[in-house]
Amino acid sequence: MRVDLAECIVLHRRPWRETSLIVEVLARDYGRVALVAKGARRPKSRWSGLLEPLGRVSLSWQGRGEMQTLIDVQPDVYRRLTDNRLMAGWYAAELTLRLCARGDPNPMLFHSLAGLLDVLNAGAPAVVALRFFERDLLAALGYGLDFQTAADTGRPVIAGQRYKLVANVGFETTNADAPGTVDGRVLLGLCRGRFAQAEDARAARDLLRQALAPLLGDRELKSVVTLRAMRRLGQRTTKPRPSADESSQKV
Amino acid sequence: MSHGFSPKIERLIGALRILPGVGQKSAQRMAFSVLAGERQGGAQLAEALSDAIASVGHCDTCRMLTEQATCSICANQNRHLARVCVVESPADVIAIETNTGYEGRYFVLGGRLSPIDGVGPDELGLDWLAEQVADGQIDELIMATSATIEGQTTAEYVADLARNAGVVISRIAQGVPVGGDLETVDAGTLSQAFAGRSAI
Repeated sequence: MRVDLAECIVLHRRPWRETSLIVEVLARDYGRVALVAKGARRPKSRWSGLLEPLGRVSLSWQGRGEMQTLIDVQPDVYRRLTDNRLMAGWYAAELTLRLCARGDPNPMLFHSLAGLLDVLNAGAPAVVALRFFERDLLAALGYGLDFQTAADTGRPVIAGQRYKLVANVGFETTNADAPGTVDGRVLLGLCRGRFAQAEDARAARDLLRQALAPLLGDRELKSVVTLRAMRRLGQRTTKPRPSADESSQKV
Repeated sequence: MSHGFSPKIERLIGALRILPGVGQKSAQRMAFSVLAGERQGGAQLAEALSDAIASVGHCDTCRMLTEQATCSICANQNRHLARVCVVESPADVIAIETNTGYEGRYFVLGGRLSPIDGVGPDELGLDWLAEQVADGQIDELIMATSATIEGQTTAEYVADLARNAGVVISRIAQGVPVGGDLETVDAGTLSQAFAGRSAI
């Protein structure tokens, strides 16, 4: 099969043999694809710099089976994430790699990831932007949550009422203000794509972590482990930051 | 795979192939060159190799490869030892030493942060660098990590570690190569060159 200039987002690349790379991409119309980029690590390779993780590119490839051979790379608009948005990008790429099987076209997932990279690039706070990506990722993989209706009563979700997430069922009404429960305001915020308060983004983070946990299994994401190690070292060596800054530091 | 060589020659060829850029053919040529004519040179090579492997370690201060406790750069009092250039590999130190007039010292990470591959601060000795920052040994950090997304992640994170300690932090410029035409420069490099333009 030969594919010409498919829209792709690079998720990961690793060295292959002496001078080549294996590149994992998410293609809009082909799903996750693994490509061998022959000679891409040679010093004068015309592809060097174009196959960076989180980059948008148009790729051509051909071949049969699991691994295709990359034959052309055309750069898309150049974007450059900075600060904790960069870590957010790594996290999103790893989440996609982990949860998306190869060769299963999923344009919805592609658009969620592309949208995330766009808003991060435009300066959106990572802690907020990632939540909507996680929401869309779950939906694109067939695990979408209904944030507007309580599963037990069938009534609309309302702000001020607590809810708890029940696996394979949805959000049930609860009276307990306990860990693991969430205010309806957070669910509505997730649904509308806008949080009313800064603390809602953090509540949504915990909620979506809970929703993603069964899909991820026991193996923790490496980017999460690395980020934790980075924070630990950061806390040990630097003075505490003002608390107003806290939300922007967490992914 | 047997090529009809005796076991010892086969073993030598196999051992040579661990070197970068050495495939089966080159390894055979090297092995025959040593065994057919350069036996004395080969013996010297073997001795130099085992001696270096046994005694070369990392500099206590900067993690550069050296057989001394402190490498010659960190031990040189004429250098600006509070100015530290953070690089990914020993080869980067040599490249900067050879081609620039840099007079500070270095810190060799031995890689770069790659969150998806699980390469974090522990693997790169960043706790040691952070300790040097906290001790007030460093007043300027120059990030000379590669122009990749991993290199950038590394640079930003190290900068974050040092920022609150009042250290001056910079990253080496990225842009149009010397002698290069703008029209042949790729989009990413050109975009970086514009973002990082300097006053003249």
